[in-house]
Amino acid sequence: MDRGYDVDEQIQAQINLALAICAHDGLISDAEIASLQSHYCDSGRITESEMERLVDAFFEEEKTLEELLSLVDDVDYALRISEEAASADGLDVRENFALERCYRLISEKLSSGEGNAKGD
Amino acid sequence: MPREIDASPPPSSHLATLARMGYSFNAAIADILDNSITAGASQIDIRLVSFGGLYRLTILDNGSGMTSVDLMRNMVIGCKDPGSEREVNDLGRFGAGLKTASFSQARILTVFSWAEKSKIAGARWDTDLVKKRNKWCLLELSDGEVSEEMESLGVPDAASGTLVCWDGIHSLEDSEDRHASERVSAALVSDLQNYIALHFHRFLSPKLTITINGVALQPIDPFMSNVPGYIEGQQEVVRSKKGPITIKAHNLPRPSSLDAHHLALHGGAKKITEGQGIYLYRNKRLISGGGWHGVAARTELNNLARIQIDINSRMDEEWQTDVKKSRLSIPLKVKQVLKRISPVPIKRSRGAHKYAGKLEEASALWMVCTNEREGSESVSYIADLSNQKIADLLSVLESDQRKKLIKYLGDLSAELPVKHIYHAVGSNPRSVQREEDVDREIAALLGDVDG
Repeated sequence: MDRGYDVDEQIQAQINLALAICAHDGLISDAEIASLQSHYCDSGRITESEMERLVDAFFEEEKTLEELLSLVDDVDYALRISEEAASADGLDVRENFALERCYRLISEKLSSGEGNAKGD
Repeated sequence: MPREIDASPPPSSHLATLARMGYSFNAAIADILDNSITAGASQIDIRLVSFGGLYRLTILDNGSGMTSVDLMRNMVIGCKDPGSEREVNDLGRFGAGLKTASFSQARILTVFSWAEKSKIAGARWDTDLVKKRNKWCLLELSDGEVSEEMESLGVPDAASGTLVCWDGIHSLEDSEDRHASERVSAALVSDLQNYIALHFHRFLSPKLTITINGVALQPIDPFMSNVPGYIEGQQEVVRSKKGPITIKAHNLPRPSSLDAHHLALHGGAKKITEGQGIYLYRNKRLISGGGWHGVAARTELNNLARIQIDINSRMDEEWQTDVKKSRLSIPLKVKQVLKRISPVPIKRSRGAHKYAGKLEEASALWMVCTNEREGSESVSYIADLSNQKIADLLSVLESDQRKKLIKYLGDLSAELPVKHIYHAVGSNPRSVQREEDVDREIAALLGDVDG
């Protein structure tokens, strides 16, 4: 995934998944981004300007929720961060629906014996 | 197999439906100005003139104009698909604004337009003719008719532009007599000035001049951001695929601190109170001003709080813009941001009122007592008997006289005409004189005593 800047691929994948869940009602608020910043920027894993670029690039993203989920190694961590971010300004019913869909996809994979190809 | 039948609405009744879409006179003109601004006009002249009792309204701009082919295409009702994506700065929406706005206000709509290096084209909708023929008969004016009309209108030479004319304006034709029409037309122009100056305030700059009957409009900034006492609030951005939504809080200066010019410009203290709430801008054009849309309550104490929301025209579907562009539905997530952001300007607004109250409390002769009981709050104003002047007076009076004076001061406090003061201050704070008038009255009374 070449974006012309250097952010760890897994961090990008986690943030993209979180943004996709947050944007399930069409909008991403400052409170949701602030929640993601508290996880990734405060710990120094990425800078705030890198986060800004990731958010801008996200809106050009055409991947489905399933595709974004499949790129994440640590799905439990990524979904926890996503839920926290989406709940930052109140969890919208559509955001909740996206989260539920992610959990269902994971359990379907596990029950079909596929597991999490990268994480498990 | 079901039989297919032609269920097209009869043009005469369809036209009547279009004319009743609920446009106000001001909103209809604003819709036409949107087209002028989108066409890149730097000068827009609106004129309402009467010829022997018949009124004609013209809107002339120096925008990019249209060729004859473009004009005829744009005169067709619903010429653009509302679902198609507009340019970010396009103020139009349904391709129906010019026609429906005009039909709601006038019987005849004539449009002249000329693009650079092309001849002037003219087209007309005569609603009486449509009704009579029961047919969508658009009239294309001949070169001779165009020249004749343009000459009579005295349109200045411009490289390109558009002239929209309304004849047979309903609100003026309905008037009982000529004097009534004149009164109505004067009121329409006055209202229109305020409406345009407010709704297009962010466009009115050296880059765009709008005149009404030759008078250039001055912008009315509902946030008074250049007036001393204004407080700029927090700003938040909500992002979406179609662009950012910017939400910003503002606090107005207290009406009592405004000079007469600003107070009059904003319609007085009452209008300022009515204007509290959310201001929605679509491509910088005000769509809806005031009202809290369920985010907060409209109260006297919240009157200085304003929240500005900026969206672009690509978001019309999510914000459910109607053809009049006079209503928007706020998405849930934006409402959540508003609920988070609004307490600060509201608290500031309330604080400004309480601050004003504390100043009264600091006065030498009055005490302000605030009583709070289980969430309900009441305030009483009591003459301060600890004041040195009264204490000195009481000390030289007989016990009986002292009781009478204290009783009188108590009655004076209880009978303070709060409602009258509230009404007077609310409607025109500058008219409430304090010291000069009182000094004059006291001097007269002392004169009587001495005499």
